[in-house]
Parts: sequence; structure tokens; C-alpha cells
Amino acid sequence: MSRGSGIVLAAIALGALGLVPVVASDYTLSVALNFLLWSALALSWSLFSGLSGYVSLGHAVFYGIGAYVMVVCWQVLPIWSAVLLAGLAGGVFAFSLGWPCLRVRGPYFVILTFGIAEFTKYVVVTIEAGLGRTGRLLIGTPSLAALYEAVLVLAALSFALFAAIRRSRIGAGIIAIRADETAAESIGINTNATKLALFTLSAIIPAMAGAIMALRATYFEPMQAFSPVTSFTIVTIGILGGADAPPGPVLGAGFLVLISELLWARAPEIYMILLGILLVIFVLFVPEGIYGRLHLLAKPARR
Amino acid sequence: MMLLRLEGVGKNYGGVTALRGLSFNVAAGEIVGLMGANGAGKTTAFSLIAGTQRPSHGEIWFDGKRIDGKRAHELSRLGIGRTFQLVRPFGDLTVRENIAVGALYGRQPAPSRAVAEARAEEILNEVHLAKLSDRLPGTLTLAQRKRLEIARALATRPRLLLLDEVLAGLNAAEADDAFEMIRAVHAAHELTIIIIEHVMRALMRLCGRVVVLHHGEKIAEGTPQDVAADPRVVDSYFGARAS
Amino acid sequence: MDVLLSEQLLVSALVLASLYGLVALGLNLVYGTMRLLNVAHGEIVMIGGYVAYWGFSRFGVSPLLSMPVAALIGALLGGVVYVALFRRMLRESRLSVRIEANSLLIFFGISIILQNVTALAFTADQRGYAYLDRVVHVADVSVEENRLIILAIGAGICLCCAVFFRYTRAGSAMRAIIQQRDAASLVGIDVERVNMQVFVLGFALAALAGTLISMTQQISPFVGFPFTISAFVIIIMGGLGNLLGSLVAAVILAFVEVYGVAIVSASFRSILVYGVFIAVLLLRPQGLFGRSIAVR
Repeated sequence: MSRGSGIVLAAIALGALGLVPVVASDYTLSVALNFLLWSALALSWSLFSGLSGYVSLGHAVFYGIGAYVMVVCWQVLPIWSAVLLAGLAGGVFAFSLGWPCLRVRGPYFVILTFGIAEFTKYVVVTIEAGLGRTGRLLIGTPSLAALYEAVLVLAALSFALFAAIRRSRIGAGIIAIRADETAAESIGINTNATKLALFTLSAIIPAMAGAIMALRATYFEPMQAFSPVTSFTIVTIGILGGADAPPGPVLGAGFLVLISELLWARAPEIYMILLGILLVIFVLFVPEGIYGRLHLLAKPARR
Repeated sequence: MMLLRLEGVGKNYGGVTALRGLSFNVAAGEIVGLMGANGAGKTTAFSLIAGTQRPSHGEIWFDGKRIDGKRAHELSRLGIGRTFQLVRPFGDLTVRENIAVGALYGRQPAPSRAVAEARAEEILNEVHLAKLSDRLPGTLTLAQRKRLEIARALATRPRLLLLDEVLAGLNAAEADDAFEMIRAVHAAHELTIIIIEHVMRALMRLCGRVVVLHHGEKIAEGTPQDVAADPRVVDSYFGARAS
Repeated sequence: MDVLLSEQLLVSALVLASLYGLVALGLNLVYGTMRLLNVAHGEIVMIGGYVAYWGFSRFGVSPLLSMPVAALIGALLGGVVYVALFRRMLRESRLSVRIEANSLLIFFGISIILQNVTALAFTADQRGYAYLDRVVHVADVSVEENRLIILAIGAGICLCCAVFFRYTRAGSAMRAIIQQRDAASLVGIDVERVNMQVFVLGFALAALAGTLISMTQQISPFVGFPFTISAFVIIIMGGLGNLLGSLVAAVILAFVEVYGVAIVSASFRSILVYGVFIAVLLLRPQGLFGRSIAVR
């Protein structure tokens, strides 16, 4: 697919998605919103973890931070300023953490990110307890349609960002790092700076998404906002759909929302079991994800 | 003009001294051989020059600037390229993509991907890898992978190229091809080469000068003929001479 | 300040140390021999706990008698997981770094599956039972009987393991692989068979620890996770693959936890454990006893 026709297609899809609130019921709208939310989260995650091979199992931390910024700034700042501030907070957090953490490689990085997410969760829980709050309520939040459009913008942004990075010089660099970090360093790629830049970028949209979803939930509770299930779901979407190219996470998100709609309300445990099984199967047999596999099948054999 | 100067460079790993007080110079345009029995410290010297390790003491000067302690990517930007003894290609990328990444970075980064690919195309032809350009490194023979390693380093437009045992594991015909390629590449670009090699024949024919290491110290330096006749060098390889 | 000097605290710390030692041992074995980080380890512990709970509440069977049953179930699970999932992966030695990260994800998937299967079977409610919780007095200290038993059994199992590793062929083979994986196969050790034995032993130890734990605290499908984290802290602190080191680290962590919580408060326990976890990973990934890894 050439770039020109790809952009036209994307514009059409964007327009169509933008019109959904006009025609759809509240229920359909919320399903669509979830789809776009998980797309945005998984696309942002893939931008770093997919391309670099450094699997972040704690991405929920940025989401939670964004949500926390929103509730703290509620009625102190205008809403959309708070969203931007949330994004900034996510970026700053990732940047400060990234510096020490990205020196840790392989599976240690994976569990380290998980540990950091849990640690931050308990810190926020303690802070809130110290402030005497068990949860925060937001009254007078924007309409579902408005939130939907906001999440649509985030999803579109993350898609465009991922596509752009992949084609750029820094994208070539991070892919080289994934292939062989020592060799990448030897040809002039500043591995620390490259990883840090993409890690920071990957945190901004999830933080903004967290802020917007806090408005949607109208309720903030740290154990929920920083839940490891969010991190697990993001990783599973990335693995299922494929984390190498933008259509992958979108496919994965669609798949996930579909299963979720079928199972979550009725049998949440079975839903989780299914996700776990899918994760295991895909890691073992289809590590490139659905989109990756389709991509491979479409191209003539060149290996 | 001395492109590279090592002065009293040493490296310790815990209790082991890999290199001790190594000093030598390399002038621009030379091909210098680095020789020595296994464990003599040759690859360590390369790691120090290329920035993957930091010297414990001593100074390294490149193009008039002090470089010891700088990281590998900074040195690549200054113009030092290297190959690895056990080749490290980017396994998920095609041969062409491997070289193109090199062209995007290094000393004179290509301003765009298109330019990088054009440069990669040139190099592919130069090193005779053009027919394999869409293959993955895993499907190549060892000789081809070593060629790719050199090609990728060349793409970074180095001024100093460190070749670490690029002929090892190749049969006579493959080694001759590689040898010719190195000669041609050296002549075509403004390149200075330091080459670690065990294959004597190649070392003697390629290098204007040879430095010999033994147990981390320099024991001889001179033209290949002088060095080959030097009794200390023969001793270090074969033990006491049969008299 | 008095509370710090109480023998109660000391006993609690010792009991926790022996539990942690058992849990960490299994994890360290799997890591040491195969470089796999089993994040589902805590779930095996949890399953052991449920076996004991079920045996006691349903059939009135003492948890001490359930122990071998739990160990067997753990062992079986270990064998199945190895044969079905990891044997193939370990055979195809592609990029080992990717295998390590991928295997972590597989274990993560397994842990989610086990947690939710258990929740489905037993609901997510906390489950507890009272067994041998009569208080006895030993040398001026009042302590529940089951705590003493745990201490005794925990220490006993560790001792058995020490003997196993030192004096049996299988144990020596495991140690050999931990020290030098490639050389081990060169001297004729059937690495795949030992891998299987390691999985079986590691999982069995975890399940055993679980039955002991169920005597002291309530269990739920999600109780395993904190044990996984603590076990990781311990094996990293003690040096990955260093079996003796992890026993020492287990004592250290148990004491830090028990006394730390006593000084500050219970709600800080998670912050403490995760804080130590992060610090250890960032500052000394090679552990307190490992060699320094020189990485630029």
C-alpha cells in the first residue's frame, strides 16, 4: 500500500470514526471508546517495547499517573490543560526513571518495570490515605461523546507517531538496538539516548489517556488506576496483534474488545484465563502477532 | 600525521592484567597488523580504541583529540569503525538494511533514508554482496557474513577501520577474496586500517607495519619481514626455538 | 521500642525466613539452571496452600499429611509445564536474551491462568483454617504450635536439599549445570532430563511452602504474587543461581520485613518490599554475593 493511498484511507477512517457519536447508542459508543483507548495504549507501548525489544510490563504506571494528575487538578485547572499536564507528567516520570532503568536488560527490565508500577501504586495509595481520602469523586465531567472524540484524537496521534517513528532515523536506530545493542553502539547509535527518547515518548499518550478516562469513570481509586491488569492487557494486545507495525496493536485491541464484550460481564475469570492462554500460545508460536503473520504471508518468500 | 596514538595504555580486569603499558602510533593511510598469540591482548586493545571498554590507565589520541573513556558511539561519530571477532549482524534486517543503518549513523550520517539506501547500494556493489542484498544474515555463509560486517562498518564512513580476525574460519579461496576486498577498499577510500590476524600470509602481504603483543605487552614492531625474523616473536608463538 | 526486642518478633522473622528460604530455593533452581524467571512461582505456592486448605476443610486431613500430596501436585505441574511449553523453546537456541524475556511472558500468562482458575473453583474469597494454633511456651516465649512446626519442617527441608545437592548424583548434576551449562553436557550430563528434574523439584518445593504458609495466614487466589516478588528479591540479593546465597538473603529479607513493618506500619509493607525489589535490581543486579558485572 503506497503512502498516499494509506493516508487517504486513514483520513476516511478517522472521519468515519469521528461521526460515531452522532449515530450510535451510548452502549456502542462506549465499546468504540474502549477500542480506541486500548489502541492508543497499545500503540504507544509498541512504539517503545515493540521496536526495542525492551518489554515494559508496567505501562499502567503512566496511565495511573495521568489519572492522578487529573483528579488532583480537578477544578483547579481547565480540563484540557489538565490533560496536557498529565501527558507532561507521564513524560517527565518516564524520563527520570528511564535513565537508570534502561541500563537493565532483558527479563530484568521486564520485572523492574512491573516493580516500579506496583511501587508507585502503593505510594499513591499511601499518599491518599495520608490525605484522608479513600477515593476521589469527579462531578460534572464532560459528555461521553466529548470524551470519545478526545480518545479518538489520542488514538490517531499514537498511530501517526508510531508510523512516523518507524520510518525515521531514530526508528532505524531502535530496531538495530533490538537486533544487537553492542553492534548498534559500534556504528554510532547513541543507545542510551535513543532508548530514553522512545521510552519517554511512549509514556505521554497513556498518561493523557489516563487523565481522560478518569473523567469517564468519574471516580479515582489508586488500586484500580494503577492496576497490573491494565499493564497485562496492554502487553497481551501487543503480542496478539503484533507490536512491529501500527496496524498490529489496533488489530489486537479490536480482538480484545470483542472477547471482552462477550465474556467480561458474564465470566471475568474465563476472560482472564482465555487471555492468559492466548498470551502463552502467541509468545510460543506467533510471536510476531496476527498482523505480523499476515504480513509475512502476504509477502513472497524472500528468506 | 599520526592518526592514532596509544601512550602507556593498560587494562586490568580484577586481578588479571590484559594490557600493560602499550604504546604505538598509526599514521593516516597505513595498514598496520596487530599480532600475537591468543590471550596477548589484541582484542582488548581494539575494545579500548573502539570504546567498548575503558582503559585502566594511559592515553589514546585520535586525530589530535583524546578519546580514551569515550563511548563507542561517540568514537564511531569521530570516525572509528570496527568489526567483531564473532560477527554481530542485525539478524532481523536484510543485508541491505544492515548496511543502510550504518549509513544513517556513523561519521557522516546520511540526511535521509533514501540517501542511506543509495549509499548502501554503492557499498553492496563494492564488496560484491549485491546479489544477496535481500537476504537475512542467518542465511549467509560465514565468509559472506564477515563481508557484511565490513560493509556495515564502511557505511559509517570511518577514517580508521579496526578489523578483528576477518579471515578466521575462511577457506583459502574465501580468504583470498576477502584479502583482495580489503586491499581494494583501502585504496578506494581514505582509510587507515589496523588488522588483527593470525593468517600470516595475509598479514605479511597486506601490512606495511606489524605490532606484536605477548602477554599484554608489545614485544616487537616493524615491517612484516623484520618481525617474522625476530626471535622474540618466534618464541612467543612456538616456545623455545628448536636449535 | 520495646516491641522490637520482643521474642515474638524474632520468632515471626525466623518463621518467615524459613518460608522464604523454601520459596526462593525453587525459584533459584529454575533460574540457575535454565536462566528462566518463573513469575508464576507464587501461584504454585498458592496452589499448595489450597491443597492443604481443601484437605483440611473438606476431609479433615491435617495439612502435614497434605504436604506430600501438594508436593506431588506441584511436581506434576512442573513436569507438564516443562514438557509442554519450555522444552521445545530451550532446544531451539535462538537469541537467548529473547528467550529469557519471552519465557517471562509465558510464565506471566501461566500465573494469570492459575489465579483465575483457582478463583473460578474456590471464588476469590480469603480462605483460612485453624490448625495446631494452640499456644505453647518454649523457653519464655509464647508461640503458636504451628509456627514451631513450620520452622522445624522448613529447616528440615532445607537441610534435605543441602544433602541432596551435595551428595546425590542428580543434585550434583544440577549444581554442575548452574555453574557451567555448556560444559555440563560435555561431561555427559543429560541436560534435558536434569531440566525436567529441576522444574519438578522447584515446583514441588513451592507447593510444599504453600501448605506451610496456609497454616499461618489466610489464602486467596491472589496471595501468591507477593511471594513471587519477595522470592525474586531474595534470589537477586543472594546472587542468581547461588543456592546458599539465597538462604542467607531469605533471612535478611524476612528480618527487614518483619522489623521494618514493626517500626513503621503494616500499610508500608508493600512499599518496603517493592522498594527493596527496585533498589536491588537497579543497584546490584548481580546480588550481594555475586561478582561485579562490568557493563558500560
